[in-house]
Amino acid sequence: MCFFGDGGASKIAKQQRNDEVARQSRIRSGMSSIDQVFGGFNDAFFKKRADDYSAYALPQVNQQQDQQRKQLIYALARTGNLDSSAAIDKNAELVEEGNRQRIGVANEGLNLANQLRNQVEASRGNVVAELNATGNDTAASNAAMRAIQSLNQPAGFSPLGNLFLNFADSVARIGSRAGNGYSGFAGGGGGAGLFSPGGGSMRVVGR
Amino acid sequence: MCFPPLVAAAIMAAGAGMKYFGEKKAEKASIRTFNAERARQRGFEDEQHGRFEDSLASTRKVFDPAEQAAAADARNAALIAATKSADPGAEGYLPGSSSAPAVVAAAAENAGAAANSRTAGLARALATLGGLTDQLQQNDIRIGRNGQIIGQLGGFKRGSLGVLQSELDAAKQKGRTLRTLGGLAQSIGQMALMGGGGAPAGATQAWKGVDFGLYPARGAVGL
Repeated sequence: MCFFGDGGASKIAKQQRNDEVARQSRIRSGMSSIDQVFGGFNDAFFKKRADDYSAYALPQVNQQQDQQRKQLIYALARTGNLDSSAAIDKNAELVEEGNRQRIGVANEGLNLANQLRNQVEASRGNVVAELNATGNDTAASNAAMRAIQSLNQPAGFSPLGNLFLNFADSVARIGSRAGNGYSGFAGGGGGAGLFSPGGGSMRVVGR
Repeated sequence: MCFPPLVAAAIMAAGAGMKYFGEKKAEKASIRTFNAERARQRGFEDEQHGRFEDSLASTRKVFDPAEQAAAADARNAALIAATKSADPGAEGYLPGSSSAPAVVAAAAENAGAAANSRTAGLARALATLGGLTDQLQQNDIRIGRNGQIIGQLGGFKRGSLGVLQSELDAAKQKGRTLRTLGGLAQSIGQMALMGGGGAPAGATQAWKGVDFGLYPARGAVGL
């Protein structure tokens, strides 16, 4: 039996404390690595994501709008209404529809950016959980890099569908009725149209 | 040999003193260990509390009308920017419109203004909805990150507390030498007292010649 010393209790306690301090230090260091790796996912990154989507989708909106404008001009020319207030209204309707679609595209871009933000945050959360469980900062740093790589996989985007379907329908109906050459002017609703019955070629100005 | 009662009592008292100081040493070390752990736990708790307060402050911002307006403005700016046509001249142009009477041109301008007004209204309404979504998402992320850190600090607290028992065990060992020696001295003094005064004759006899090595042998000094 030993009367002197403490049987190694101090050494054991000191070693345990050192181990715990080192574990905490590794976790804090791992968090710094995670913050650094994920730091690139900042507001500018997500704004660019939204802008990229707009850059992809807006030309399609513009192209479809151009096509609709041409169809409108043809329909107005066919019915002799090119220089009329009804034509002005219809053109304004097309411009408004185009703007509505552009707003939709921009909104979708922002929503996609937010979705990506959620994905990034979920990935970051997984890496942090891994770090907490293992206390291994190197493994966490590697996991963060893997997460970034998987996030960088390109997402597939299909071309936009026909955005001006309702407008195209209303344009197609301009002059489609023998008795009412102007149907299609009433907000795309078809039917009676803006003008009084029988006025097949009446020109309306200054409504 | 036997100790004079006074010497025996002194040895016993010294032993008690050593034991007392040994125990005090252990007690102080235990308290020091406990306080050190308490300070560590307090530090973690303060850090956790700071994160918790940050989450609350972030959530309060969601209900702040100025913050809501700022979030809506940010989204609105992005939406309105998208409505800027690549070719605005072409949009308003219809063949023949350039030679239209002034009243037709005015009608075109009015129609365009009305359409723009409706577009702006749509953008603003959508931005108000989306702005709140943006705010809530930012808040969720912030709360989530704070929660991660709070959980992490909870792990630190548990880990640190796990070491405390070993440290307390080690602290209890402090002054062990003093306590052991003190106990020994107490026993010696007690036995010497018993041997020196009032003990049964046999017992006294039995202790004669026991000097624990503290005194020279009787013959050696000519006693």
